[in-house]
Amino acid sequence: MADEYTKYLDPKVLQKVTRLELRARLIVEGFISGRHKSPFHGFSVEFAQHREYVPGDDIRHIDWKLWSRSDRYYIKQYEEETNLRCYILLDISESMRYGSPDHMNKFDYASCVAGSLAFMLLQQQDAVSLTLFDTDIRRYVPPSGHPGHIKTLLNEVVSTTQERKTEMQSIFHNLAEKIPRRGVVVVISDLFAPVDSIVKGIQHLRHKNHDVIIFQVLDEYELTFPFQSNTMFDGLEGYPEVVVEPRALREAYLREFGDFNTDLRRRCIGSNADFVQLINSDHLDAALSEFLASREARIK
Amino acid sequence: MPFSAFNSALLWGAGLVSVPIVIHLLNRQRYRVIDWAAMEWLLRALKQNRRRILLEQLLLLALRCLIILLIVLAVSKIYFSGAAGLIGDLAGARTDWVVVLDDSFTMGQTVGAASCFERAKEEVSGLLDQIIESKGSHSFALLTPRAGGRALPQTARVDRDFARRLENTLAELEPSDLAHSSGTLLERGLQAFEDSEADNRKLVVISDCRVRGWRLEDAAMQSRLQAIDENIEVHVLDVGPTAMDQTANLSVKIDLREASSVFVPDMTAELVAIVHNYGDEVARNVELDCIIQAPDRPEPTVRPTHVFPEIPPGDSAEHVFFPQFAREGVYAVTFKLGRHPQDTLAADNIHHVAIDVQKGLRLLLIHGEIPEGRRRASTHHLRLAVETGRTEMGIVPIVEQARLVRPQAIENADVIVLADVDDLDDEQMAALRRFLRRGGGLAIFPGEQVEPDRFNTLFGEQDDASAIAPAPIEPPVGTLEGRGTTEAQFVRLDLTEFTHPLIESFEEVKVLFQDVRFYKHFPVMVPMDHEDHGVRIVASYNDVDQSPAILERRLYETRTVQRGDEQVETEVETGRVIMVTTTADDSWTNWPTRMSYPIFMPILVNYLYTERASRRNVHAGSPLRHRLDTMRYKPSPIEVILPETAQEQGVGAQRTLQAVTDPETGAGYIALGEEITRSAGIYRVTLQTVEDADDAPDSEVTEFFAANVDHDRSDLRRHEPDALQRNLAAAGVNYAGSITDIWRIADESRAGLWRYVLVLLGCTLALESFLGWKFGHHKR
Repeated sequence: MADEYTKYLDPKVLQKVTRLELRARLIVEGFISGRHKSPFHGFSVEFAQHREYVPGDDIRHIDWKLWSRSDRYYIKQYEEETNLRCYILLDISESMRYGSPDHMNKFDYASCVAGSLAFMLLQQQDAVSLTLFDTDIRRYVPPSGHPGHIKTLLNEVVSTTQERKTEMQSIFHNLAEKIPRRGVVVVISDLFAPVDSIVKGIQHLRHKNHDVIIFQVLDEYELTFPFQSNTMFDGLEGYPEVVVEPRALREAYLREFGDFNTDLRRRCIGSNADFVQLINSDHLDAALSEFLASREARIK
Repeated sequence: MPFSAFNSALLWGAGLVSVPIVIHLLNRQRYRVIDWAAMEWLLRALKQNRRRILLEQLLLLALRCLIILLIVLAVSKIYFSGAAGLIGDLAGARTDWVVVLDDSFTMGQTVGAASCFERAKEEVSGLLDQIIESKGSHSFALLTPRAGGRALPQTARVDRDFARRLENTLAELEPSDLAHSSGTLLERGLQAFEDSEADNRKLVVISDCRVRGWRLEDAAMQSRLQAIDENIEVHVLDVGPTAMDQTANLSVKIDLREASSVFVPDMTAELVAIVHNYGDEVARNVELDCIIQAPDRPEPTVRPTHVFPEIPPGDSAEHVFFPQFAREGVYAVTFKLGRHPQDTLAADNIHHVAIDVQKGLRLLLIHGEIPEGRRRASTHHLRLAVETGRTEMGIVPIVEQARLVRPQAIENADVIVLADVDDLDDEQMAALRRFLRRGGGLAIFPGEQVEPDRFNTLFGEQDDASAIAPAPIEPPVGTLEGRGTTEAQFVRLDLTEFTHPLIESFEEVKVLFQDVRFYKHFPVMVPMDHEDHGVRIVASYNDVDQSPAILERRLYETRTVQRGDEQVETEVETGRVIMVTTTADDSWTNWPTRMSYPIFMPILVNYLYTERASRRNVHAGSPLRHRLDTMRYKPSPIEVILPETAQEQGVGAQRTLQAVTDPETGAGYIALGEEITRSAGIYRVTLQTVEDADDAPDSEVTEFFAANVDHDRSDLRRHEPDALQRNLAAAGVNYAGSITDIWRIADESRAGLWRYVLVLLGCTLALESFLGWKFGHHKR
């Protein structure tokens, strides 16, 4: 049990993400951003020194007051006080238990994502908090930047069970009120809940100036519905069981599910949250890397 | 019911339409269970599409049931009956007619103005008229039953033009000299439907339905009737004389068994002509001519006409001609009845016989070693016996010792006697078997020197299929001491039964055998079922066990032969073997010194030869095969001049053949196939002589062969129509007296729907596949 969390730190995944981080250090931005522009620029850092401007420096960092006094260009350099606080919200509802054959179930996959991010952030001395939720907040681990904090976080993850429904809106509201400082809120869930409630929760977080990143973790079968023979689908999270001929229903199902996902993505992005859909058949490292790269490009 | 099927039994398969429903219901019970997270959207999709899915499922289920039903209908070949009219036209109902016209010679019987054959031709015309007037598509074929006999090729379109051509063909048709059986008639007709796929297949057999030709009770005929495809409508149209008593007929024939079988130059021969009156009235003043054609004279010799003053009804009269044949060669003798008012059938009023006149019958007497102290061979008495009647019988005995006899001599003999022989080398045995295989006659007298074991090894043990002797012999019984002065020391022949042809002529004079004593003999063990193996006991001793004294084994071989106009595999008799279980000389019996011995032995030799002599004469339509002496005659060319009747029947006037070689024996044969011997008459065969042949002064030699109608079919009695109708109806065959009777049933034609069913099936399969794919019920 003690070392079970290591499975979420797939060396293959973390190795690649770490290399990415090495490249990001050149810019010395905060967490997550890696090579990206920090959303917390000038906010959580302290002034360190001036240095003379050289072509290629961002002119936004020129100290104009000093220029007016000295008629020379100086760049202000800052030293980060603490990096940032990242709040990872991991869905442990029953629907996350589903996993098609030959794939990790959604919860395992989501845990990998959470573990990878936490590890990466802690390596940058950022503070990471973990919240496990379903209908309620089942576990809250306060933020800490201690490198050993990763064990605490991941032990919480492996010791949980997935057996309840999802209730997003109230969770997000609670957290929005509970988190004292602005930070990055990372939601990792299949988001099988009413879109309105999800969006309202996100909007509340955004209202508190949190940066919100939504990782929607889905199973490949949920997106392709590849079943052929007669099947009894036993609904998780209290849904009834139903026997259907999947081939006859595939088109309709895919349409319904596609509509939901499209709507969800559109409205999340509309609420200024980052929306990333992860499929458990995708390579986690590639998915995270791609996300980080795209986020960097967007912030630039 | 208007709908039925060619394979109606398969319609039960319609019950299989429930299979898709059962599979569907079973499938509903069989599913796998999956925990599913995205249930909300699945339920939403289900709710919105429940009715559509149900309808799709029902539609596909209905299509699948329909597919099963259509498959069953297609396989069972459904048709719509009673479709002579519009439906038949719409469905493209097609009828194949095959008419088999029996051209057996009995169809030439003339009662009143027309013969049965003329009436048959009228019925064919009448049927064609009916067909032309009817609706629908018809094809028509007129067949005569002889092998390959197709009088008129099948036509796809029956119209007036076709009818005109048919009339012309019919006008040329005449009865043949063949005698067809009902089985042959049916077989020929049914064969014509082999490639037919018509909805309606109608076979009409037009025959005179004689008792001799329509052996309905025969097992073979019964099985043939039972095997008729139920989709072929079979009609038998009886064109025989209407009155059952119109069987008046006179026929003539000569049975070579009744005549002397060996004909020798300058010797007075006996030819017995038998005239039979099949009518029910006395036939008076029946004239009989005898015409003899010598091989070396262009004109025949006509003997004075003999007149039978009267022949009782149902009885026969015989007349013996005593011709003399001047020289060696084959003569053709024809017996011919004059026209007689009570005779309704001309074809059997003539009988041809080819007679082989030769210097003599080559009798090869082979004896074993002559014991020390004995001056005469064991064949001595035999030779004396046949030489006594040499002049009359034409038997030329040749005596050889077993050790020295050449295989060639064995093969060339006409009859062979083995006396006191139990040792022959392989070549001699092989020659003996070849001799028997080509029909030779063999007599065996196991003598005093014969060792039973050696004898049995040489000539066959019991149950040996290739055995030559009728039965294995055992160590001899009896005594020679005192030459059996008392009754207990010898046995006589049992004189109570004279049924075998070899001894039947002795029944009246059995006294001849009363003083014949047998002191020693070889007992033989004859199995109970010996007759099944071709073994027959000719005569027995009068001892307690009734031991066989004379036995016969007839040897058979399975060959494909022509029987009438049928090719059949049958057991053909080849040679025959007579075994007398004592000595040929007077060592163990006093028979050679008694009067019956020189009488019996020539008869024995004749009996063994008779079968071979008759092989120049066959029934019309049977193949002729006769050994060619290749030392004297060239194998090619062999010119055959066919009888005049053959020319009239379109067979031709002349053929040029070459000898065929038996692959096993290497012997050459003159072979006239059944396609040549279809006509009754004399076949003149001209052979080219080998230039350096010793005894052939002429460059070519003429031989005769004869083919005759089957006189057994001269009996013109007919089946009672009611009985015939009952018998045929049991096999689903319609018996009709006129074409009207046939048309009344035949007009109910069928319109085959199965082709359309196949098309519909294809469409349904395509639709099911498309919809299944469209509805997502099939894999994509």
